[in-house]
Amino acid sequence: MRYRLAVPVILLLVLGFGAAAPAEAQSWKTVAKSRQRRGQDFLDVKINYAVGRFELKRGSDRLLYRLDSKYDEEAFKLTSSYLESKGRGSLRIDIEGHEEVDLKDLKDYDFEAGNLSVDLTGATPVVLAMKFGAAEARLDLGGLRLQNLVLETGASDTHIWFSETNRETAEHCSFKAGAAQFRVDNLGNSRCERITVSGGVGTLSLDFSGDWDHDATGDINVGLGTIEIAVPSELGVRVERSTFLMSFDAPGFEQPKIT
Amino acid sequence: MLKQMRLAALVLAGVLVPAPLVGQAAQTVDEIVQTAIVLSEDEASLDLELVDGRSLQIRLIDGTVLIDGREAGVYRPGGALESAWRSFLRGTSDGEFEPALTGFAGADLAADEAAAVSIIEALAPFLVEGSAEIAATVATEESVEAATEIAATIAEAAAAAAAATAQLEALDEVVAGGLVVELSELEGLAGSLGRIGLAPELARILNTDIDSPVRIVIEADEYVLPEGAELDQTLILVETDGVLAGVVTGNVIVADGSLMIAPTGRIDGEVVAIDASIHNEGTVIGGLREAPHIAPVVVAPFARHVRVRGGPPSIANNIAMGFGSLAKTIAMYLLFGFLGALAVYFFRGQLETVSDTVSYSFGRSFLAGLAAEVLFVPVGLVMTVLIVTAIAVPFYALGFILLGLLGYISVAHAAGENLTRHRFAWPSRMRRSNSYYYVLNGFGVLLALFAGAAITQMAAPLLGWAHDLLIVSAWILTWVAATSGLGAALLSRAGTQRKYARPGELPELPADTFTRDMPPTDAGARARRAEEKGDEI
Repeated sequence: MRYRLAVPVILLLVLGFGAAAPAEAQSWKTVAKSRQRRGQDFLDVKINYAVGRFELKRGSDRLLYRLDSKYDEEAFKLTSSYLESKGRGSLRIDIEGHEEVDLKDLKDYDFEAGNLSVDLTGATPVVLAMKFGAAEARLDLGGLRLQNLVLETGASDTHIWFSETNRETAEHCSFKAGAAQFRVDNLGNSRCERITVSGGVGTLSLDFSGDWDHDATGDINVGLGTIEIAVPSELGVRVERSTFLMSFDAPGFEQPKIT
Repeated sequence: MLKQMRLAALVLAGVLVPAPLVGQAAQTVDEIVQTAIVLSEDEASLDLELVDGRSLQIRLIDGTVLIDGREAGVYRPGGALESAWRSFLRGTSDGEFEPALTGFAGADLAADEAAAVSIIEALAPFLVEGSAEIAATVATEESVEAATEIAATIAEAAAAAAAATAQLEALDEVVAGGLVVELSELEGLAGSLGRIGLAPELARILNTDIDSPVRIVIEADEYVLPEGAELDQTLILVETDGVLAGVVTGNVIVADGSLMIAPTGRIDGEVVAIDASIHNEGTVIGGLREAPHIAPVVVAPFARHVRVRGGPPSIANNIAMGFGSLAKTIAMYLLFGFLGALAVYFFRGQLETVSDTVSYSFGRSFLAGLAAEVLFVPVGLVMTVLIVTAIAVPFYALGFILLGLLGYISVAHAAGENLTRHRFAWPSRMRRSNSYYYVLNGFGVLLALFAGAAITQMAAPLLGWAHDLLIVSAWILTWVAATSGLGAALLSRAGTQRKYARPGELPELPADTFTRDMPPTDAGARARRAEEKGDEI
């Protein structure tokens, strides 16, 4: 319970301690960028987002990607690049603090007002790697053609869901949560063959409901946090656990008799 | 003046853009592959990339209209043009691909702003039919000259971009992760690499051996140059495993990584390995050599920016560093105090035996500890070589560490006990005869020099010499204590034998130790104990 309280406190400290800051102290810059889909057969996406609100979802299939961002150019720097070779595209989006700016010194600062929104095509296979610092992230990965997913969060409040079935079979989905609230819904729609979840200090919630048309293995490691795993009653699950100073409750599960 | 005339000509051209061009602008939807719109307090810009590699950038920034970096007019910040342009860009960013450049501004513009608008609108056909068509739309000779100049610049840039793309596609190399840096100017690179910690040997090679463009791949998981691909550059792999199946016309330098040259691979220059392994099945015309001085390459993974500051640290820095050192010392004291308390609670008998061994056989303990330290590595190697004992190597190492820790705590206990004995008279000593007290006081003694060094660090300009002296003394004291403690732990078999602890005497037991828990080990002591019991009766 202590960590459930701790994560919002961390987020408040990092994101919102300057919510009442005067707007004129910040120099906002908005960037909108989009690229037409023209026969690309693969897209490698890497996103590194330091502080703010982040959204990702499926967009129009006419576009390969679209990004909209608002950030303070005095404190942060947006770098986005797209390279393509023989139909294979590589998209890099990076929003980081300026090296000469120490974010800890920016008192009365409205970090929360910054945002990044990314739309990806549902028509091209995508490999997605994302890294968040202190961000509030909302990701609807449903309907994409996701082949691989790597997500790493710091002190973030992250909610991921698969509103539709993944249109590809994903080889590996890896989630690494730091001091964070971390929630994934409808993992059954992800069509991930291997799911790796690693939690530090925070609350993790994994919901395995969705359209299960495949077998999957998962490896879940939790440090000092708590984790809640919800599995549909009709789904057969084999659990191997190893705990140290942690309790493990599995209400509603029935252990099959081994004959 | 000529520029103003050109502007005027282009204004005319813009005004004269015929209605059909508006229709042509509508065709740009399929021609534009990428749009980028930037809006900030002092900038409003549109960046378009066309399907044939051409690009167009229109920026309104700080009162100036820039088209592909060329000044094309002026505007008043906050005026009608800027408002119209921002509104147009917002509308474009909300949609997808409809940046028709015509008709975005109203008619109530000042003359200079209207000029800039006309230039922007004049570029509309460029999006459809190419730069040559711009010239065709203008009427006067000067306008043609100005438009041709713009068109030539854009076409040149497009050609260069196309050539670069073609080169990249022909190369078709695969780099997994890491950072790729391409350089054509090497002056100063070696010094920069040296400053961020790259090996001096690599810096020396960069200074002397390279006379062609350089491609540096840093910390990539894998670098592959496939069969048929050709790299007309010097290739440097830093902390990267590479596979070369194609042709490299320059040199290849591998630092702290590995390189496999496939049978189809050919390197016209030489291959230099710096702390790297090379497996060659292909052709290396320039030969293969290892750098004579092997030095590790250090690339700090998170140190993306390096700052070099000159001059001595300030007084504030010295005080801050001193407080930092003091805090570390206090943290160490608390940690060791905690471990010591645990040891007293669970292993009091053994701890006191080792402590007594240190006190009464200090020289022997120190020599035994020294011998153990010297023999630790050879014995470990022998165990590793012998298959039967190899499995026990981790336990051997762990045992050594635990013995050392027990010994160090015991030395603290002994130091605390001796301090108490010499400092207080008998009645006070009895009140303080407590193993927890001994251990905490002992660690205070052992870490006092570190604390003193931290305090003198705060006055470094005056007491720098004292700080250096204290820190050296502190480390020597720590080493002597750990060594003798280790030796005592060994001599007493981890505190189970009192052969070297007060031989022939009854140990002076702390007040909080029950006498019955520790029976005397020799006859004389047993006799004295029996006598004491008789007196009590």
